[in-house]
Amino acid sequence: MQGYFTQRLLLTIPTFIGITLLVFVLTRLVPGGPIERMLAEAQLASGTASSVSDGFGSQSLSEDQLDQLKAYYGFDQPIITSYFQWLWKVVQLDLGESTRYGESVWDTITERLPISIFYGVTTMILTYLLCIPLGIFKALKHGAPFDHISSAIVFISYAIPGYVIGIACIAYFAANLEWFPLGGFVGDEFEYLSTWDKIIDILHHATLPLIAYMAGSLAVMTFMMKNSLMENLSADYVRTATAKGLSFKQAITRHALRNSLIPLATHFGQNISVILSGSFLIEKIFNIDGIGLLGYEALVERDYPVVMGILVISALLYLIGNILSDLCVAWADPRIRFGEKR
Amino acid sequence: MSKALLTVSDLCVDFETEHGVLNVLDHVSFNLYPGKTLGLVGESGCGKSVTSLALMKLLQKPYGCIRAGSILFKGQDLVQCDAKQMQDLRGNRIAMIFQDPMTALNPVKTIGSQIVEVFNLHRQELTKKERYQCALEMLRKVGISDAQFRMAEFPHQLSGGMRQRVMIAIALSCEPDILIADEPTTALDVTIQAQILDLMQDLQKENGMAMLFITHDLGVIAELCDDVAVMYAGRVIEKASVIDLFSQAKHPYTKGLLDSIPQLFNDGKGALKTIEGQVPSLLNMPTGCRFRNRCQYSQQDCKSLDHNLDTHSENHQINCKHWREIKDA
Ligand SMILES: Nc1ncnc2c1ncn2[C@@H]1O[C@H](COP(=O)(O)OP(=O)(O)O)[C@@H](O)[C@H]1O
Ligand SMILES: [Mg+2]
Repeated sequence: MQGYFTQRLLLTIPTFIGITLLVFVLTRLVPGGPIERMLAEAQLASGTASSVSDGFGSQSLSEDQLDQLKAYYGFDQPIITSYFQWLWKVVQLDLGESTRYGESVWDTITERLPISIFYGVTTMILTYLLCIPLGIFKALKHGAPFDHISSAIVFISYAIPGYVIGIACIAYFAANLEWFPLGGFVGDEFEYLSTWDKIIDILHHATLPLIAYMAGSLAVMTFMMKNSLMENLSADYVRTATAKGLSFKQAITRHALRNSLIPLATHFGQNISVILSGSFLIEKIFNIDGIGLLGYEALVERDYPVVMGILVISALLYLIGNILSDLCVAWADPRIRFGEKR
Repeated sequence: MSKALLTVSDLCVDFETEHGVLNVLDHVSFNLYPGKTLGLVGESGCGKSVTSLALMKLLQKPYGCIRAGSILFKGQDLVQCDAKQMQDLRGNRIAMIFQDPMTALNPVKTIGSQIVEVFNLHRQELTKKERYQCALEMLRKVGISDAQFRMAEFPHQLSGGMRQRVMIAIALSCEPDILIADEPTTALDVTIQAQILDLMQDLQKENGMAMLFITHDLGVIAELCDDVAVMYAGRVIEKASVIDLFSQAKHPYTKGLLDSIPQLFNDGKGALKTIEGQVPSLLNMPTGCRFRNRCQYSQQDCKSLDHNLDTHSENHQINCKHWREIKDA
């Protein structure tokens, strides 16, 4: 078991290199880059005097300056060399500087990461808290009106994209009823609030985005729970349990439930990475400064150090999440003992 | 014969399906006696498992329900018992073993905890330690070596035969008055089968419990049972002592069953005998005798046969209008 997990941990290294190398090469191969973007900006800044049709022909930068820039970003070297230069820096926890703002990428990301983690973790916990009981209840009431009605609601929320739900929520609950703020992570007076009011303020701001975040994953998790429990309810061992003298309820809580949680445990790791990387559309709508929005803007602006920085974080989360999944499954299901020979 | 421990009379079970109501058991009656084994035989789908589940009142509601009849156990009609009373009886006075030991145990709980659970339910006067000791003792009793070590193992670490032994240990923990075994050896190798049957017989001698042994294997019946009830399409069509059944079966279906056993001494010549035709679907069961569409002796008046059994001798009853006219082959 331990051997298996050490092996898994070691395997993350080549996987990580694979993921980052691929994206690194891509950023080099696609047309347009930070330098081109700077040139374009410089051109715009130097007025419309030099006509646009000239393109990059009449550059406001000299060849020398350009070479300097290229050397600065490592564009003068072969891809592989500069990749390993980048990787070496990453190992030293240096993600470079944003080409847009000149700020350290590490700072830019860590500034936003807590916000994303807050939303990610809260969404995940709330989703589990809602879906597990709902799934259980639906399984027990299979075929009853409650089951059908909740299925309809869950499927509607699944079919409508999260950002649309977000917009609808803003339009109605924030703009119309003014129950919730229009956006942002915290209010303007946040700094002056007491600790308790701060928490209230965060939750007040978080309610609508959380609804938007949860809407999508609700259906998958609820139905996973329901189907899994229904399958286990008809399993032979539940019949054995009732034949021992347990009531139906006890047979569920003591026997069927743990077995039916196994598929959800498998899902756990994937959820971590997906949720932490956020959804830039929801962040955009609610004006939340999270990782999703940062990544999106960095891509549009060809801010490759930031893109790579976010990739590093999300790749690591994904890899760790997968290992956590395995751990969860092994914990929940004694039949699974990874890497043990019997 | 001693007084019956369990008397099933005219048990009728219906299943509600999307195609309509299925009359799965039709006036099933039999008795169980202390220390004796009743074999319940019949081909797949004739209602053997439903009978056993009905006795335990474990039919899945709302699909299956006992429509009529009574199950008298020590003067108490189980059909009238409420859920709580049944829970006190199950696993305690009436226990059950199922067909497939591979799936009948909870895969995520240790063997030990699954046996201890029975004591937790029915022997609450014991201390935690005593319950563990009792469970350990049961494991030893059913012939599991390294019992202490096995207590902490999970079902998947045991072979099929060992799991069935564990099931027996669970069932017999509270020394029940009645053990219902629904094809307990069908899923096992022949050698393991024999071991399990021996074990069950030994434990029965020790406890003096009554056993309802369900099987479709006539060989097992011959080895284990005192009496036999033959079922066909939801009805008991012949009841007899095991000797009578094998030596002088009267019902055409039972005769057919016995004839279809491969004979060791006919040099392997000739095709295996079979009963022509198929079991009618429960949805359109013929009126009267349910076997008449396959019966070579069937006559007009077979349509009016009801569920009552005709008595040949005190212990031998047949559900057939013409059994007297049928000569032994
Ligand atoms: N849950 C159920 N729903 C509908 N019909 C059932 C159900 N369980 C059993 N039956 C019907 O009852 C009949 C008897 O089944 P069963 O007792 O399992 O047969 P067996 O003698 O092989 O154990 C079958 O023909 C089947 O059609
Ligand atoms: Mg069966």
